[in-house]
Amino acid sequence: MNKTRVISILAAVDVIGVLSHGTLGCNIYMFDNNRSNGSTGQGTEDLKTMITFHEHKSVELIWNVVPLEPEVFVEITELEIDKEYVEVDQYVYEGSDITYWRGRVLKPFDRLVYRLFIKAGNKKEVFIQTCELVGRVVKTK
Amino acid sequence: MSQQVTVDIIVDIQAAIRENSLENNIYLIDNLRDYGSEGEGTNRLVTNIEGGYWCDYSQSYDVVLNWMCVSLGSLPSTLPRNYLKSRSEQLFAQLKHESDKIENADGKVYNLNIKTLNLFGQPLTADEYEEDSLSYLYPQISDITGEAVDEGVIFPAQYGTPISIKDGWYWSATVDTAKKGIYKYTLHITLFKRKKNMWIPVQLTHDAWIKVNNAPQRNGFTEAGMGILPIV
Repeated sequence: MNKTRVISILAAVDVIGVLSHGTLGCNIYMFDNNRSNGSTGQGTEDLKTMITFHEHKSVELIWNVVPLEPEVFVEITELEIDKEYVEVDQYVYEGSDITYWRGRVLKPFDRLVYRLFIKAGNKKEVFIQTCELVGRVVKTK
Repeated sequence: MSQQVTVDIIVDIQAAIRENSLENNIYLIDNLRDYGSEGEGTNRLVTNIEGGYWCDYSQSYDVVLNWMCVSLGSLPSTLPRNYLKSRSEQLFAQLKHESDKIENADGKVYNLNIKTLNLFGQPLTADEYEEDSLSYLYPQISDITGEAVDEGVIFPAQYGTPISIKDGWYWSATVDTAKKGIYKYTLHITLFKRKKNMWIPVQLTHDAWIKVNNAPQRNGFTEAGMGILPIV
């Protein structure tokens, strides 16, 4: 049976901070639910998500963004990542207008940098957050 | 008009349940990073509260602390509150499945009348995915206790709200800013682990701090303060 591991990555954005400062820097906190398997940088802008490659397991990723305060808008409008290694697409949660990004890891890598394009509040400007995926191969005996 | 402070509590649910501890699986953020709070995004948050006082040293305005749980490992909190319910109604008709159940702290089992979904908003398919595609029920705060409450620095209570992403309830506290100092408080958080189609509560705690400062209330235009009205 080909089991799939799903790793959640979350961007928490201080939208009021972004609107006051005009920058995303210092107003975004990145998390994933893979700290126990080696991800580092939780709660910072330097999240390095650990992806473990097993022979008979596939890996999927899901990206979500939430604002720190409930009454404001934030969305990931684009996700730029090397298509050769991770195939991504944007989806809508059925029956809502909330979007998420889902990615399928195609083949192993050592290190993959990707960029999140984020819209916050009513600003037309798009902000960019650069993050990393770190790969590790585990051989089953 | 009160100064509203929001403390976001981000929980890595799977890891916290597995380790039976929030210590390495919780991250706290407040909206006062530029105003003196320390430990943003870590498990050690010190929220800096700036109070104000009039010339007679009475408190001049309220500061209100609000807590919000965010889950790493669930559908996002930006979805409307009734999302699971309305999706479940569609799915019960199509799939003829049973509703999920929940075990209360007193051991009684209740029907949740929802069908749990996966992280992509779709019904769970048992074979294809390991359990980490499951969308966990949101962490709930069941109480706030500790030094900050005992000393009368914060007065926490649970309030009802129509705001969808707060799931109907949220914890909020007014702060007595006359009590300068650093005070600890304990968050009592309930996570839910899954066994077949039943959700079982896991009660955990975690500490956070507030640092209370105060300064004389100043006239925003003239910078004058510490005199009786009109402040000139």
